[in-house]
Amino acid sequence: MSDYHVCGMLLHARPEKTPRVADALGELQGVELHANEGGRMVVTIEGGDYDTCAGMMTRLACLDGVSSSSFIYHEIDKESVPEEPQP
Amino acid sequence: MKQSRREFMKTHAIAATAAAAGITLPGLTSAKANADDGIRWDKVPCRFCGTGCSVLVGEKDGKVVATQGDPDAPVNRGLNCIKGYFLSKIMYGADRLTQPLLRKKDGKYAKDGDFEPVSWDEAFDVMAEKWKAAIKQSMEENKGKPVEEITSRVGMFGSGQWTVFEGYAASKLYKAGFRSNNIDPNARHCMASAVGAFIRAFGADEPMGCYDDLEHADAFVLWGANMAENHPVLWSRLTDTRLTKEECEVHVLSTFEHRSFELADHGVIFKPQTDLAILNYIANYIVQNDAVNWDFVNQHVNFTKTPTDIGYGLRPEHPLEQAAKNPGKGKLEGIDFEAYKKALEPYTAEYVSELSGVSVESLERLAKLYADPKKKIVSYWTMGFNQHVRGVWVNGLMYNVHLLTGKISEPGNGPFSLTGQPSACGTAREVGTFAHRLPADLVVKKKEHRDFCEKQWQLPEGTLPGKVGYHAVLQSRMLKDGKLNCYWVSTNNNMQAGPNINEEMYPGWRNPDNFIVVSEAYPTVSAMAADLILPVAMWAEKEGAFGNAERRTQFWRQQVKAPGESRSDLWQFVEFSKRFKTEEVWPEELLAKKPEVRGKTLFDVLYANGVVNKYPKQTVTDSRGNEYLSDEMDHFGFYLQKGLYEEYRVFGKDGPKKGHDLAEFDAYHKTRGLRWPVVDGKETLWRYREGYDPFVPKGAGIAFYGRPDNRANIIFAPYEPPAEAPDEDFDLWLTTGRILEHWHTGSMTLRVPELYRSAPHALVYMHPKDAEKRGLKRGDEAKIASRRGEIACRVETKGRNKMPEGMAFIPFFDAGRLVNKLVLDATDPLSKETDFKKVAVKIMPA
Ligand code: SF4
Repeated sequence: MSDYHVCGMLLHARPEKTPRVADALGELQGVELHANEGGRMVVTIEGGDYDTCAGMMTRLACLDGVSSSSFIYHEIDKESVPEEPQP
Repeated sequence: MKQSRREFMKTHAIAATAAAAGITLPGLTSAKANADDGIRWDKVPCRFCGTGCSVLVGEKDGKVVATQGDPDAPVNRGLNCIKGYFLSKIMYGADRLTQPLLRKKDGKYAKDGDFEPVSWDEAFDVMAEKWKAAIKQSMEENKGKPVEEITSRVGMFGSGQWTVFEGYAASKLYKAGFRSNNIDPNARHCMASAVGAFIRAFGADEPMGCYDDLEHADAFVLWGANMAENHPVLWSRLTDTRLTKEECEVHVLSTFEHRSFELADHGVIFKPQTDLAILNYIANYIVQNDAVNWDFVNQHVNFTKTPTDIGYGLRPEHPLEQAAKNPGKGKLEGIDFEAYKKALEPYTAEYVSELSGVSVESLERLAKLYADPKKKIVSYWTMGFNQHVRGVWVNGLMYNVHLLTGKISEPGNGPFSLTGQPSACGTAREVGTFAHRLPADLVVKKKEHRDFCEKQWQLPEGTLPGKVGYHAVLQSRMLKDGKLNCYWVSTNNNMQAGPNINEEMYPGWRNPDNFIVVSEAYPTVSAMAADLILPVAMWAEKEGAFGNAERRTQFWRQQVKAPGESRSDLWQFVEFSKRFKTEEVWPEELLAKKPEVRGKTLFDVLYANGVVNKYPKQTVTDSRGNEYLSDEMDHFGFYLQKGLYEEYRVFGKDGPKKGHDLAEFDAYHKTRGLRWPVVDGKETLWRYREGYDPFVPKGAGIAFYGRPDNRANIIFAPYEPPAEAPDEDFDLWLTTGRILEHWHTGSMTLRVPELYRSAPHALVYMHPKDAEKRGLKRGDEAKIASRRGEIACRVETKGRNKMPEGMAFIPFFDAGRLVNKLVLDATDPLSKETDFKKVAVKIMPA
């Protein structure tokens, strides 16, 4: 099993733009929208490493309609059991 | 089992995010990081920008494994920006330095040798030998000179990322120990103009308002600040206000369109340098339309003007300096309101529109906003104003507008100078690690201030030199000229961030007469150009304190151990002091004034002085009983941070400049920081206003008590042109700056390979038409040349930064593309801060 990273992100968008942002989020792998109230959107990013999550964060920040993006929570689960014996 | 743990983690991430958003999600209650999975959580301020967010850091098995925006922190209320994500990783880069490295040949130090690992002992031996030789020469040169004229051949370039303790210890070592004022922070490159203007207008450094204004204001105006990318958490708070408060408006001014324009109700693009004229136009509008707040102005304001035609802070033989009438002059002259009014008259909407390229309607919209007595306004700025050949002036012109209308020092109203680095305020400015400063707004030039400092530090009278030392840019020139020979660079990457690298910096570092030491965590451009590299413990690997832009001092405990032989900067400064006997650094006449210091080391005199070593070794714990490391305490045998802080605190409490009071050391470990002045345990949100600031006398309403007459200065300054502008040969403006994914020179963020990949190289952003005219299109490699050098970058015509025609932008994070090779070392002659924003270049296919 590989490492697991989970990140909580808060996006702000003008309310009229949130449907468009929500659609865009739906297209992104490992990204989930959990709540959407008055232009505040609660989003998680899951991935196997920093790389994937960081790339995704940048994409969220640059999505059309997103006025601001904040990073809230990050945790790594490293207790991975290698599938094959490692040298 | 594994699955459920990961589900638990995810639930936790959702809950924390929802809580930060103020959204209740059914079934999710636990928002706070908890300790049930063997993770120890503690608060630490983020080390990536001047916002000063608090982060909860989760430690397990000696490593940081989780982070969360601290929900109990008033600054960020559970939010962090993307950079916060890398806090947990920044310490674990693969190329982290873990041993001192010295250039050697045949087993001995050699300037042209290769780096070899050495022990701390060997590193300090070689270093001390060089320092002693240089100090000896300085003592010879200073023989018979009064203290106001003494100079030194040793220097230091420090940082706005130093902890408060580090800045204080370094300043004391240099100013008192080595008797050298040649210590300056990299904050010189970002905050010096702001400081100069604060002192001129208010007689006291740092903003009067605080971040609470983000919720109180009706309108926000950004002057050359791209908060969306550079102060993202403040931007989130601002966005929240804009989206939830009726009739709230956001105005964004810049020389090109950036991410902050996404939210702007009114975006304004102006030509470089014309901010001076725009601000004078607004003041003129206020005066012409009788929108002056006379009650306020009559009671609390003086009118003055500043000398003009002051040059560009270049070397004196430069033709621009030769042509200047009043090079470097800044003494204010009192004038009356009529004279001020007359001086503003030329700044009509039509004239300023022509000069700035901003439409008359846009200018009027801005002016009306400031003139409207019912609108509460906060103005924000950072480098656009500060890195400006008239930086002090333009900061002052902003204050003029707020002072004319009385929109200052109250909730929702005020000018607010934002800060780039986590402790540019707390360390560089408050501790006074500048070439001209001492702690708590004291300055080396005033004997009264030196006297106070010498008394606190128990030094013989006349120890502290009274001549202003070499500021950052002058340090480079003096290294090149061989007048500064021993140079310690700590916690910054000046060889990349400094101006005019080819002509003014590199030659000085490689000058065979000089010995250059760089304290760093990673092999940066600066480290690789040094003679000795000292590995440092960073951020949560030591106990520290930062002060953010709203005067908030925040502490943290050491969370983890630094790798290998890395040691904190604090450890390095204090340990190095043990190598010097007073006789080796102070002349006989000084020793004769205090014979008991003979034979003692600088460590004995400066740190084991009965005050700094007053607090015995103890175990550091938090309120839940968790225990923490303290490597400095273990090594020195006393609570070094606490002793330094308590000695430093006296400057704010009893020093000649009032209003700098700080709380006791222990208070800060219990809070999410406190905003000074802190009196009777209470912080100050708005300075100079009765009811908020305890130093304003009852009944006064307002008192700008930094100044002897309690009045602030309105300072007239005209528009003057930049040092260089596009011409036939170099036909485009180039400006530099930061982008969200990288912070400053990227020496830390570029260690994170994935971040590096997401924006690997600096691009040159330009208008599609400008590109086309030069036979270039998006993605092409282009050559960018100024009068000083050239670099190559790929062209970007789309994306986050939209350039107007005639203007290009290159971020300065990329070590492979040193944009600062192009930059002229023109500075504000008053603040000595370099203008990185206005370079004339030409661009062609590579
Ligand atoms: S806004 Fe600044 S202080 Fe806050 S998390 Fe981002 S980089 Fe850190």
